[in-house]
Amino acid sequence: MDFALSTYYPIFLFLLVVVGFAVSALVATHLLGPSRRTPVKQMPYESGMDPIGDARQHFDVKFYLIAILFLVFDVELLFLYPWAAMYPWASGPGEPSSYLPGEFQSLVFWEVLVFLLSVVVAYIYAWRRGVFRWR
Amino acid sequence: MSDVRSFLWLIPALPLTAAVFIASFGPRWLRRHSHWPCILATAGACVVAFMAFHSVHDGVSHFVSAHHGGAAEGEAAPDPHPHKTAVYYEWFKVGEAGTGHGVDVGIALNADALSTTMALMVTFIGTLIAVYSAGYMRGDEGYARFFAEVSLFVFMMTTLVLADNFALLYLGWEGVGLSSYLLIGFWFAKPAAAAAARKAFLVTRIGDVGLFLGILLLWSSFGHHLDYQNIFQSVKAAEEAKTLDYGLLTTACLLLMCGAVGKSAQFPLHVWLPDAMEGPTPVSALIHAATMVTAGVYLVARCTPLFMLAPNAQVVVATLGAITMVLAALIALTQNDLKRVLAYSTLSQLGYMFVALGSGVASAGKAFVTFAVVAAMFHLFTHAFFKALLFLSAGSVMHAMGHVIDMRRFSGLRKVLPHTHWTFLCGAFTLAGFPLLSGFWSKDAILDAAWTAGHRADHYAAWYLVLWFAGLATAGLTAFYTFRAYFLTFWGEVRIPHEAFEHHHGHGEHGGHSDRDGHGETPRLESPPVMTVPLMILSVFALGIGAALGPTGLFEHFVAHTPGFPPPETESLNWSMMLLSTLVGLGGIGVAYWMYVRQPELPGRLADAAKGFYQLSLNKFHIDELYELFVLKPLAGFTTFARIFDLNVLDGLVDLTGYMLRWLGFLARPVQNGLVQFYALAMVLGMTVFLIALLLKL
Amino acid sequence: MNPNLVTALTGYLPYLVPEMLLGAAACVLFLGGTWRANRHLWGGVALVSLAMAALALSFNPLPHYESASVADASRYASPVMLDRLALLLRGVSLAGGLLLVLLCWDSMPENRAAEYHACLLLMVAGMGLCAAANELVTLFLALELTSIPTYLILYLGKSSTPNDGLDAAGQEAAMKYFLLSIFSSALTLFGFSYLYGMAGTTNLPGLADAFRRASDLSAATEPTVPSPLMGMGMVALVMVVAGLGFRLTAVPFHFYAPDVYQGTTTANAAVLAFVPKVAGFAALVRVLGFVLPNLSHEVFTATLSRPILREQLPILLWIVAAVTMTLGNLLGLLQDNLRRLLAYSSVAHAGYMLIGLAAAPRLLDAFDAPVDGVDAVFFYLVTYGAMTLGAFGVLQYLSSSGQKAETVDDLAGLSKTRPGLALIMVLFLFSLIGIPFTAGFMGKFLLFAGALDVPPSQETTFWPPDQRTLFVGLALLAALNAAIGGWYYLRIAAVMYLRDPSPLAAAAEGKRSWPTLAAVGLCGALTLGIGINPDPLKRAVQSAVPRLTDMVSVSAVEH
Repeated sequence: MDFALSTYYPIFLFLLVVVGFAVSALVATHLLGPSRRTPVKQMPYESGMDPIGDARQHFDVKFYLIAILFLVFDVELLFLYPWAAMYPWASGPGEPSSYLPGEFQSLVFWEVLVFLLSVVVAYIYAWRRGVFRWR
Repeated sequence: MSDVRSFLWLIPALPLTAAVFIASFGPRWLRRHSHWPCILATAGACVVAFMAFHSVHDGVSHFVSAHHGGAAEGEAAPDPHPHKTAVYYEWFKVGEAGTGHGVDVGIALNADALSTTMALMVTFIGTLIAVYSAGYMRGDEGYARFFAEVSLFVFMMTTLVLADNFALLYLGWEGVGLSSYLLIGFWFAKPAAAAAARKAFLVTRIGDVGLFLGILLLWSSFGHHLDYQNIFQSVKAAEEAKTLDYGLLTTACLLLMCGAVGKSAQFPLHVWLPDAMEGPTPVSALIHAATMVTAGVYLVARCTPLFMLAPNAQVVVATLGAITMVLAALIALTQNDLKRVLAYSTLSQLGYMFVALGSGVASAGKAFVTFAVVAAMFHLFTHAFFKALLFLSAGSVMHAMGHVIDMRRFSGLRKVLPHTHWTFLCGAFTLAGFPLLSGFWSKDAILDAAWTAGHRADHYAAWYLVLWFAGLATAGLTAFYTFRAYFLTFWGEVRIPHEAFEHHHGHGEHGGHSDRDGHGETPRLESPPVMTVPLMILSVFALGIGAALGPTGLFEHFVAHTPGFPPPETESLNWSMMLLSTLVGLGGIGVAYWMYVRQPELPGRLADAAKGFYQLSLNKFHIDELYELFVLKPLAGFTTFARIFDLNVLDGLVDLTGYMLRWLGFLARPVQNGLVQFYALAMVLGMTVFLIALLLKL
Repeated sequence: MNPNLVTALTGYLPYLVPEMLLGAAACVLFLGGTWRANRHLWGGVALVSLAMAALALSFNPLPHYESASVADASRYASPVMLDRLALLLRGVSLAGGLLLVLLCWDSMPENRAAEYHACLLLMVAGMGLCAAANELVTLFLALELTSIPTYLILYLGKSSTPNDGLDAAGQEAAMKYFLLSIFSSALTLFGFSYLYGMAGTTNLPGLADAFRRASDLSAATEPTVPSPLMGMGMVALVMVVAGLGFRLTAVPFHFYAPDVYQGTTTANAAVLAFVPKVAGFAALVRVLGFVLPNLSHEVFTATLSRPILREQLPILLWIVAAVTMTLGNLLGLLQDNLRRLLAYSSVAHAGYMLIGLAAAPRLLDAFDAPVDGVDAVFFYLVTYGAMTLGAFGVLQYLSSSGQKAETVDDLAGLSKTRPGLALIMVLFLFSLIGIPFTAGFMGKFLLFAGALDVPPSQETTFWPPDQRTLFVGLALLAALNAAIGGWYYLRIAAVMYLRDPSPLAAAAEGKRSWPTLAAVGLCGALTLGIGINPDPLKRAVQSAVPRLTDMVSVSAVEH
């Protein structure tokens, strides 16, 4: 296939919107919000920890737990996205409904439900083990 | 009598049951009655062994009568080699045995002339020694353990001799090694005992590797069989078809011989046996004199059909036997430990058996094999009796002397231990080859075999004559060192170590009264009847069994009917040989008498003290000096050399193997340094090496 | 859509019910453990779920394909291969899981019991899937399913109270295992990606076909020049073998084993000695293509008849086997710590098992060989499992009843304080040595028989010595190794029987851990039973591994 720039127009548009949103949001908050400078607010990471000092310091394990849990749901999303894209949509007659043959549709549906269930199990487990209790 | 197959299994099964029974219930409930299951089981096995023996014997006499008197009409010709094989359990079977790469191992026992004779001998002596041990081991902390291990040993030994295939033989072979290890190390708290046990185990294991390889070679080369008869037949078939690979057969025989050399403590693997005397004396008698150490002789005798086709292997067997025979006899001359004298004498006698086994050369079609092998087996048989007797008598001395066994610490025990004295004397006379006693007949047969080999062998005839001469010389040495030990122990001034009295004080309930004063009237420290009665029974057998079976030809005519043995050639008694060996034996005894009795310690001279104590002392000095100069010095030089060679070179070689392995381990150790980065690096490096090696080959 | 393909892609699901059950049970355990902390409850649940999985497996053991085309489609499309080998190994992993659950019963803190057992169940499922994998992807996922729970149990098993962290040795062990395991997984995956890149498929029979075509092509065009594709294939296989070698504890991928076994608990060491070995050997056999049932003989023999696999793969495995068993035994001689000693012992036994794999391709030529090599490996795997788990079980029983069982000296006089336990330990040690009438003897026998039956090579070899000489040498080396190994196993037996117990050990009369005792008893029965009557297991492995030689000889008759 020949290269056609027009194919990529949606992506360019997408990039434009993303950059525009970010820039406009930053500019808007800067202009609109009140600006009271305190030493705390001057820190590079306001709600984190002091970045200046010895790098070898103990991290609270809770950060890891949260990060791992985040990863679980991030990966979940990663799996759900292609599934959703492949799943047959109700469409007009004669049109190919999806790339997924009909014989597999129910199977794939239940498979993803099992997958979601396993993530829920992980969530409940984390909950019960007190991962979300910060202190 | 019912079929031998229906009860043959009882011979190993009874001791096994006893072993399990004692091990399970001994320490808790049986305690000081632990000897009963062992004695009963061994005696029962002995009875069964006799029944099996009798059944085979019936077969032999049936054949003989048919052979001489003509078979009855309509009856199949009786088997010249009566044997019954009982397959009890097919353990595993891979492929088709005999047709390809198959192997077929079962628990199959075999009753023929050779195996039943051995089984009878093992169980009979085992019974007597079990009875004796009940007295000897009394009060020992591990009383139950001792009898469990002895029963285990009897089980393994009977399995070894009755096995019908090499796999089961190997099982018994390793099993007796294990029991021997456990029993040598019985007093494991003694470092010497633990070290001796380990040494015995390791050294015999070197030989076992050879045996294992030999079995594998036989299996892979001769039709993938493991049972004796099929292997022998396929070898015989190959020989008749002129397709036999003699080099292969000789290799296989030499490998089997390695196992025999290890187990029977032949040069150069003999170093473990003298150390093994650290075990309890009944163990030394049972395992390291009468039965286990003869397993090697049994193995070579069993494989006669193979060895007779490999004259090169035979001459190696005979030569190693002769080296052991002479070396051990020379070492025995200077030992002060009574049990060690006997241990070296065992080595020497086993050497005799190997000489006989190696002398069974087939010469120009005339098979003289059976005569030689039977001579070895006959010596094995008589030796088992008289050496067990000697060891048990020594054990009785040791028991009475409070576990002192150094001959310099006691003397003149004739009156102190009257029964033991007589039994030891019987054993000593038999070992020395005193005319008409057992040892005389069997030793004579061996010398005869070597002499005949020297005249008839196609190869190495002159060498066999040298071996014959070595045997004759050793006969003299044997008589000498035996009686040296006898005279040192039982003659001379009465000296008793103080341990004897402490010992008897501690166990005051047996062993006669305890006279605290060793210098007053002669104390009686004789061992209890439970020990002396087996000694007396053994004495009778040791004295008489040779004369009963040897010159009458009973033993020869029976054992010669072992399957695979070629038909025997009738040999007449060789009177000149007998005369010669009698002279040599008596000479040895005479010299010993002259040197140890006619000299200062002679009690008669002590009584006749009028001549003056100084003169006596002086005489002793002079004669000792002469003796030193003309007899002992040269001999001592050689014995010292032999001992140094023994301790430093041979022991060193054995130890070196162990150290080498550990050293290799130490070399590899630093790699395991605990650093995870290094481990990952090593994984990658290892993989890279493989990759490069494979890619370079592409 | 092609109905055969649909069957291939969905039809296997009912046959995986056992693994699904185990996964569901693991979820229940994970969640349930947060409400109740009771080792007996959750151990019981784990046992019940294993029993149910076994029941499910026995109801639905092997699929029946209506036609050859369905079978063919399944072979080339299904992610799992439900053949007899898979059945055997799934059964073995369920049985091993049962033993492990019993063995580990009292090893972990009470509040970790549920999670621990859940991890064990997941590992069992992973082992089963490894054995059934027909896809590189399935295989990798199954391998991870055995690995990741292992990381967890290394942490779970050790701490004694809820807030008590790991001790330094435990942390070191867990960390080392984790790092090196993911490293080896990466190697495996790297190798898989090469295979996929070359063949364009992750399907194992498809890969075999691709190799066959490549080698046929190069043989047809330029017989003397080896195809670059085959060379790359070799590189990929080396990486796969290296990655799996970690799980088998093959030298030089074994380094973690002694450190990790020593640092962690006895129960965890038992798991590590068994689970990764089963998974690794199953995976190795699948990837190297020794077992491709339902394949026509052409595919099979052609795959292995090209020099690349016929000549070089056995050499590679030969070297790995020789080095592994020798190094394991030599270093085992020097050890005083029991778990470290058993770690080296497990390294050595991996070496013995590799003999079977090395000999297998060569045994294709030996039409009358009694063993295939591969069947001997799986026979040995079962016996190894029984005797090693048994030995670890004895140690675990001792430590859970309060007696120290860290070094060889700690076992001094065990025959006096616990005669029965000492006796059964001796049984395991004898089996590890390979003394007749124990399972270990039969295992070694079959492996050695395979090596001894390698026929002399007919074609020219790339390596100077003849193949037969090489393999007879390997068998001799293995026999020598067995003798060296005997020394350190017997040393344990000697310490147990010949030394007096320390007063501390004699006084230790803690609680009895009946489940662990049951596991030890089962292992003992298995060790002795297989030793006395090896035929059932031998028949099982031989029917699981199709007789390669049978296939070839059938084809010879047909032609």
